[in-house]
Amino acid sequence: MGVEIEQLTKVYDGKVKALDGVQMTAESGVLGLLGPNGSGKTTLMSIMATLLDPSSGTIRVDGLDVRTKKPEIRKRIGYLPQDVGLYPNLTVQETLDYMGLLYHLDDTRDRQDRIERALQRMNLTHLRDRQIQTLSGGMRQRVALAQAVLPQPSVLIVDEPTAGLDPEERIRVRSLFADLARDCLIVLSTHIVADIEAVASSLAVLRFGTLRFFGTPEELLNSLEGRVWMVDAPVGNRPKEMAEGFLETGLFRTREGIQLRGVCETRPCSDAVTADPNLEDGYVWLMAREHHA
Amino acid sequence: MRSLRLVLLGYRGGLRNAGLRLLAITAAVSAAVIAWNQPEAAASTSLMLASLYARIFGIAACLNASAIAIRDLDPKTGGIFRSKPVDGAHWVLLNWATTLLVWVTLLGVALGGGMAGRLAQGDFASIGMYSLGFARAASVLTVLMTLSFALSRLFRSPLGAVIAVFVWFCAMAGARFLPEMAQPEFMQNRELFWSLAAAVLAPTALIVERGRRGELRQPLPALGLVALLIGGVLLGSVRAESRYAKVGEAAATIWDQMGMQHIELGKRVPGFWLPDGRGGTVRTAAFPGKILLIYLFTAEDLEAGRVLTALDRVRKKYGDSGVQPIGVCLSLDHGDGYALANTSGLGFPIGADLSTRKAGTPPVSAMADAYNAQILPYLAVTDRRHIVRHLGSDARPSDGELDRLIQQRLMEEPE
Repeated sequence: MGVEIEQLTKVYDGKVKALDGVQMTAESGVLGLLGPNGSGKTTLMSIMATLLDPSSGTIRVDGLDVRTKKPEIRKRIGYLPQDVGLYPNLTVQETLDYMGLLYHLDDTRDRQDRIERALQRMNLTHLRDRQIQTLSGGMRQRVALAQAVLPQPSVLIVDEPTAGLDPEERIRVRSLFADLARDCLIVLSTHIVADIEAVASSLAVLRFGTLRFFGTPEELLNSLEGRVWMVDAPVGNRPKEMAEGFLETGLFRTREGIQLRGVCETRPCSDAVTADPNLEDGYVWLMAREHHA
Repeated sequence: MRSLRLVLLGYRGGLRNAGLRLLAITAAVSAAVIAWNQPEAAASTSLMLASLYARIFGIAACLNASAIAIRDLDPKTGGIFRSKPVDGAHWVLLNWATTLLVWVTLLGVALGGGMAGRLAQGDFASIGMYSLGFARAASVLTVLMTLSFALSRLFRSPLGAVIAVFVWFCAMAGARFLPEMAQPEFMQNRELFWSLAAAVLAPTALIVERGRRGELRQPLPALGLVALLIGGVLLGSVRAESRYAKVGEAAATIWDQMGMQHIELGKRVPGFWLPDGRGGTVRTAAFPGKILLIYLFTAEDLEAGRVLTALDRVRKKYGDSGVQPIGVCLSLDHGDGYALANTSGLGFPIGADLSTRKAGTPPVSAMADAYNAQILPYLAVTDRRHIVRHLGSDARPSDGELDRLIQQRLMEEPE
């Protein structure tokens, strides 16, 4: 069950190392893949989805090796790439019918039942007769998600699902993942921490193709305990005497002025008070730590 | 059933493309107008439209097929299809069949416009003419679209369409310089090009695509099929080559014998034996004691098509008096003469001069040599003993001129 990755390396054209010795295991829930653009997330997802072969190392999806068991793996995964290339002239219903047939759902009644459930789950029922080209980005994303869950996959691979969506659609898509994670392992890549903050059961942070953190979100948060600080200041007058190691992770407006949030090994200034860490703090801290290193 | 359903779904989506619809409807309306305005040359018009639309729709289909062939290879958007558990060969063939069905339908709509234009004038014979024209155009479109699709998939690039369209342009523009075998439009090359298209598509789908997707586990049956198709290409080449070689042999061929004759006023008309496309032969010797109107023409000439209709009227009017028109089609594409002979509804025989090397000015063929035809169309009129009494290049006689010509002959030689 799940995904097992061992010493995975991917080199493009013998030069560009997109992944370097990545190792992790996830069995259920949501595995959040975090990392900046170009960190290797999409490459990792593509290898999981059998679209690319690794240069070395192994990935087993549902216990099956991606090098030798591609057809079998494809029957067990749902894949939602970053950009969805659905046929623009098909309706939502036809698109799901088409995808269902590609998934070998040959029994018409069973296929229609699954389509119906997927439409309801993704709140697409009222859009079933609309052509894909007439849908908004968020609606298309939901259609793409609906097709990915048709086979009731063991592993759902989702690459940057909220890119380009408005805030309302983003929230809707996030809540769908929380719902779907009850049935399968979701591997969800994003560079937006908020996408996985509430739903990830495990977290992998990639940078320059290497794994910088793998564990539960709680482990990351625990490692920041006592290192996250809040500093209040008047508008336009940021505190000048901040400790050198203060790493800013947020800036908020309050009624009195502004509030700076950041990570620091020691109290950054006399007015600073500790705060509960969140994943955003952890992510920025991981990225900056590696950057300084 | 699954494949059929997938093809039909893709087909339905393909036909919803507004640009393609517009192309087909525009072509259909144009065809209807042209066909409506050419009642005197209905058969030639159907040939001309079929040839024109085979080219327009064929080139558009090549470009579209190439885009569809590599649509799922886009690293960003294509993953949604490539991650599906569908066999690589199946996927390639599904897309090919869907694209083909869409384009054949669009071509049918376009040529259907021409048929509608004729039917509106009560010309029910046009059903046969346009059906055959559609079949020929669809055959050309299928071959070139398949080559474009398969090569694009093979190279994973639109280069496939570039090659297919370039080859076709060369064939169309350089018809005089290229060997006839390189002409995908010619009916006589059908076997060669059909087997070639299949021989490119099959290994692309069954071997290359499966190999790329890690699905090539039992390559032997696929290799066997590919070997069979390559054998088909070789056989098709040999047959086409022998067909053309027969025409070019130094002596003793029927064509050379025909070409060595020389027409002369007051002498016996050069005899000929031309195939009619139905297994029969069109011969001067078959009409003893008849006044012959031998009309050499090329199928693309609509004015010649009008004269053919006029000749049919002559046959009806003077047939009982022993007047017999004979058509001789000079065309590089053997199918043109056959199509006119079999679908035009004309009541006189039309033979195809298969030795034609050039249908322009001056024409090059055994019949053009024998009849000294420098410009087509060309009319030779004989008396009842088949002695040549009238010759005319660039012959586009009106009904009245034809009547006068025949009445003069009949006055000299009443029954």
